[in-house]
Amino acid sequence: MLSRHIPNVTQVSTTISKRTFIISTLATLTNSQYFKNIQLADEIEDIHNKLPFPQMDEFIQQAREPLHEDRKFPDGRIKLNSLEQSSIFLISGISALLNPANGTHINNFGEVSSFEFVLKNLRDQMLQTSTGRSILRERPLMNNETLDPEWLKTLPENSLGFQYLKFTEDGDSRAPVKLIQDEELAYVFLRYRQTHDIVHILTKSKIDLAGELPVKAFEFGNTGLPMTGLACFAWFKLSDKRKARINMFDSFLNGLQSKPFIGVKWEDFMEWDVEDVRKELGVIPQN
Amino acid sequence: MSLIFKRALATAKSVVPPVKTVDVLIIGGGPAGLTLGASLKNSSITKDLKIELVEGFNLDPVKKFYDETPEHFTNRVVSLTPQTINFLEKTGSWKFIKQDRIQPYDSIVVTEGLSDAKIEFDHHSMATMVENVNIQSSLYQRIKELEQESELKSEDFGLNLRDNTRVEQITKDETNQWPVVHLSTGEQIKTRLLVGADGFNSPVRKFSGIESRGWFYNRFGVVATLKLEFPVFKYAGWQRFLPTGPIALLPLPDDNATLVWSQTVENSEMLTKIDSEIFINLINAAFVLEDVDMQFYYKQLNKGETEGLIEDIQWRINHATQKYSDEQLEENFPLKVVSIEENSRARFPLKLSHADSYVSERIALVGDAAHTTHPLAGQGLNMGQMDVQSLVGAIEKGMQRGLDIGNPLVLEPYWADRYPENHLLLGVVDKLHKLYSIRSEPIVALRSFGLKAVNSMSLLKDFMIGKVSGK
Ligand SMILES: Cc1cc2nc3c(=O)[nH]c(=O)nc-3n(C[C@H](O)[C@H](O)[C@H](O)COP(=O)(O)OP(=O)(O)OC[C@H]3O[C@@H](n4cnc5c(N)ncnc54)[C@H](O)[C@@H]3O)c2cc1C
Repeated sequence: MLSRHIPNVTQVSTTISKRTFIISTLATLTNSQYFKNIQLADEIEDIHNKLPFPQMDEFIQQAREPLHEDRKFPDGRIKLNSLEQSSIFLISGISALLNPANGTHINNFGEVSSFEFVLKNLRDQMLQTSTGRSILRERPLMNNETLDPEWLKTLPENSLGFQYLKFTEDGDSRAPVKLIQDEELAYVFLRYRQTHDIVHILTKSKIDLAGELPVKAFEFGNTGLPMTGLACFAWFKLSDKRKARINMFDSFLNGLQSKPFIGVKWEDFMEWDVEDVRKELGVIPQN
Repeated sequence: MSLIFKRALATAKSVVPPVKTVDVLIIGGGPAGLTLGASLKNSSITKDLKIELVEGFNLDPVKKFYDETPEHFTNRVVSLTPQTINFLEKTGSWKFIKQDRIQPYDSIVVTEGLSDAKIEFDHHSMATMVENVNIQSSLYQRIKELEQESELKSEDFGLNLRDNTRVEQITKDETNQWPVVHLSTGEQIKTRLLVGADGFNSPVRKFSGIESRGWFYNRFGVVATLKLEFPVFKYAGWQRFLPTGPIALLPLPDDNATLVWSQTVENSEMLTKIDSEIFINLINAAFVLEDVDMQFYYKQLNKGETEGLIEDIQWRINHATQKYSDEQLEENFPLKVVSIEENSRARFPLKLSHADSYVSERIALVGDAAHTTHPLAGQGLNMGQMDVQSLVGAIEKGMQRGLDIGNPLVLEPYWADRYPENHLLLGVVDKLHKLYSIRSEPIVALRSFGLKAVNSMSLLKDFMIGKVSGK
């Protein structure tokens, strides 16, 4: 895993000149080839081949070793110092830009760009209602075990549960949170991640780029997470024809004026008609 | 005066009773009024003055306190500065304080609800917690002692204390313009000097026409007597500035503590009514949790929704404190409150007021009659004690010069001495209250920075302790 090796990046960056390291990294980043291969050690090795530093051998060796247990929280999250966080922010941010199709970079960048004050703000939204508080307290997960597909299958076609099942059938389970340091905020982020599919359903957006963009704009309005806002810039890459079809600003406003999704107990809405859920939360379906 | 005589007076109001004449008439048997009476009788210069003290309420609890001390702590407790105690020692009343009911403390830990800023003031015996009634009782005992020592008959001692008697009206004598006070018993007392120690609504101040300026804070102080989970090891005061107002938990002996919690009108009313178990949990929460949690609890409680609230509070407290070691917990938070003295909850409106002057022809104001302040710095009663000390000094000087003690020339030095100091303190406390009512993030950041900076400057801190403890 990329993230597993990240801490060691700084270990080496303290032994070699930090500046040279960053410059060399950036130089190689332009070749998006590296990011097809998400093993950071491989990436570094490539850098090494081009710009040899004697200290690198040792580092690559280290980076390939499994992560030391005391660098992990009991729940598997990775302990990072602020320098490590900034390195990941930089590397995963650039990688994600260069190669938006690669989920790992996007996931990592999403986590490290969710600064504490942003997540606290989301958490505070949860703390303002009884439901939000109960979610934070019980920390329910949305997956095949908690939302039994056999049960969802029996629900009417226009129910949220059935639609949810259709969306997640291909086993698109949401990645665990690895890089957020505070355990409660890590859960808040996980909850946001697990809500993503529901946003698709409620805004009637597909999972292609044309569907993903308005979802990101909606999420930015609803959560304020920086990564969702940055992702919106991908709109500029679209052809004029597609640009005209996707109204990002409307989606953003839609997210802004809907109830905060982070505090919604989706588990309790599974049997509801999707249309009623939209009304309850003030969502206007796009398209 | 016998009861029968009083009744006879009451029924025979139409018969104009004889007007008694005294040198000093003190209205108010609160801490300020009793201290003034005792100090005037304690001074070799003023001890022969003929003094009358009138109190509207029943002083029985004060009179009985010394011999029939109640088991439980009362809910009106104040923090006395070393300066006040020093003055009470000189007056000779401090020895009558029930020492097992007071609690000196050596530090106060001040934190705030919107950031992790913290400031700690350390000073050996920086202040002492004493029940109001204990102070009043000690003064009453001292007055009794002085009377015995004088070996005069009680009518001749020259300090007559009457309670259950209200001032109904104040007029001026037609011939010499002395104040004449009309009492609820129908009696009238004419006086050379009228002292208003009659609290915030001071009838004496109103009569004198002295303007008082100020405002209500739109906050109430909720008080209660509490028990902590263990007897305290290191006696400290705890104060946390929440956006709704500061909460303070101050030590009493052993595992007892007293609460002063400034709150919005709505919350204060709710706090005096809610189930005591929830109340206790809320106090513990207020020292640990964030504003968002507290706001949620207030909202629920004001709606009357209490289901699952205690579990919720305990979950949040555990969550917020789990990252601390026992040692850190002890350093950062007060001991847990585990129970509350029954019927000890009460609330008082908080206000700022300051009279334009403390004196005029034959009139002087002391204590809350002259000024009231937010209790966040615990200074109200202490200021009144210093007033009394200064006024007694002024009267002594006047008498030594052979002047009429009702003469403004005698009284004005008192005002000149006390007004600037009180004004400064009122202003600082007022600004503090306002500064900490602000939620705006840049201001929170600035004031936290300020607090942390001050915390690291021991010289400045010592200066501040010196200012508030009068050292
Ligand atoms: C919640 C709270 C906490 C506080 N904490 C502290 C603290 O920690 N430290 C501190 O120094 N101060 C504190 N104070 C302030 C302190 O309690 C007052 O400053 C102090 O009690 C004032 O004393 P006083 O004698 O001037 O007035 P009062 O105590 O108000 O006495 C006035 C007396 O005059 C009598 N009276 C009034 N009108 C009449 C009338 N018409 N006829 C006859 N009698 C009349 C009243 O019955 C009363 O007994 C606190 C106040 C509050 C509300």
